[in-house]
Amino acid sequence: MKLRWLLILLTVCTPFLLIDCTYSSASSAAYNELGARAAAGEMPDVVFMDGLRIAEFVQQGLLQPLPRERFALEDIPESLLAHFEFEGELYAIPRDYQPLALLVNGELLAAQGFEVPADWESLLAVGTALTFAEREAGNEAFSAIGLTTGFYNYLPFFFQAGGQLYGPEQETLQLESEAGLASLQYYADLVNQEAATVIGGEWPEVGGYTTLLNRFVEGSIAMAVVNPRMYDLVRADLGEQFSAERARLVALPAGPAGQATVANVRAFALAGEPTEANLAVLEHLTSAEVLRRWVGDQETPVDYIPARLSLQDAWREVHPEVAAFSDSVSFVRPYTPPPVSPGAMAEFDRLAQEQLIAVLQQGLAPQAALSELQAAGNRLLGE
Amino acid sequence: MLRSRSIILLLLLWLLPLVVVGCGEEGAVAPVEEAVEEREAVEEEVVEEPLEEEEVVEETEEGEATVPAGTGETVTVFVFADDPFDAGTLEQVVEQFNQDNEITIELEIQGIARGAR
Repeated sequence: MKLRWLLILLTVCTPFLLIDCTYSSASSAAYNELGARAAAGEMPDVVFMDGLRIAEFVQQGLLQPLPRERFALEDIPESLLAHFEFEGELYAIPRDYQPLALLVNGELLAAQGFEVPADWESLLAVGTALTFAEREAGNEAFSAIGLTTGFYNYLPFFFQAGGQLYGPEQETLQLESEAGLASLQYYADLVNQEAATVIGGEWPEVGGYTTLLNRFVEGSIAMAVVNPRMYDLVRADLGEQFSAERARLVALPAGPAGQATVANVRAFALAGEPTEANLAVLEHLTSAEVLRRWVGDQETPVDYIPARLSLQDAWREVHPEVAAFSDSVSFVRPYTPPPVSPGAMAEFDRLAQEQLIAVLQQGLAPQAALSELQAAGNRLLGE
Repeated sequence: MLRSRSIILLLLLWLLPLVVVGCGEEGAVAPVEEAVEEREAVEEEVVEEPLEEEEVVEETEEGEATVPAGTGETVTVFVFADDPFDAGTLEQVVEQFNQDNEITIELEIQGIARGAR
């Protein structure tokens, strides 16, 4: 009888389960599914992974170390491979990457006589001057930069100040440092000197990306840190207004310790045994010949930048307006969260955003925020 | 007591054929001629199958027979995709691979409906 009810329920619910397969949060649903299969001992042979989640799968012994000589790794930048290296072993072969860069309304900056900023100093100076110039011109809600409060978006600034996120064994955080203080103070200066406005900030909105992009399209901000998917959305929303100058993409302004950004790197990993068949499939799915297909044409999304160096020119040729994304691969800083539970990571993200909001909107001293965050992070790392 | 058990047994024996016939699909108790025709049809299909397989096997220029596609090992691949372009490209890559190799990729895409090209 119970079986019959189960079947009826499944029959009734299946259409809804299918409808629920939306474009958003595909990866988090997929990781939940993978976790369930791992618990049941039914992992697939080859699995798609990204640098933000792979550590926990490696830690649980669910992935196999790979034979490096098999995969023509000289064609893949070390900055991308580093996302998947643990204790000297390589656990996945990168397929594509999605870095952060600066989206600029080049038309507006040119109209007000400003150059696109290339470093922290000019970003602050141009941002403040542009804000006041536009407000005087009647655009009263205008701020030059839209700043989100997600920890991930703050990370490039931390690295550009010379920061190292973890200690040598990944057992402790090193946020409370000279680099941490310099980057967070700079973040606060952008807001205090009215170069930037804080957008979003409500957990779990995680940075308010939709509002950010809407404001860029409507013209009430002129600069924002974006990834390729966000660029695609802006391009679509601008419609006929779109031009490479209206949505100009440049590298993030360099900090005192040089240039840096972070990227979501996606890769194929091996959960099955390292048999010839499994390795052949992994090799095929990450080969330059296959990745060439993701270059697409001018109409296709720009968020599948192939991880192979031999395809960089082809990608730049098809998507020249967003070459800043692919060019940034030389200074991508690996960001692989430690092998803690997703719950612990989510808790850390929440705490980090809370502290960023406190600094940017409530006047909390950066030193106090970093101390609080470092203590909380170390506690979660130790759990 | 013995009498009532006998009655129940008799009733069961009477009902059994009805139950067996009733449980079958329509035409389950088919006439002998139909059964023979069906068997002949099955035998014809069985005879035809090896011929089809032989047609699939191709010969290379050197005269070596290649292994028919999809007859080797199966590798399961689990992927998440965010948009139709990604999912469709993955499907095309796998289709091509399965045509060209004796290994078969069994692709599972999470996050977007299959066939969304």
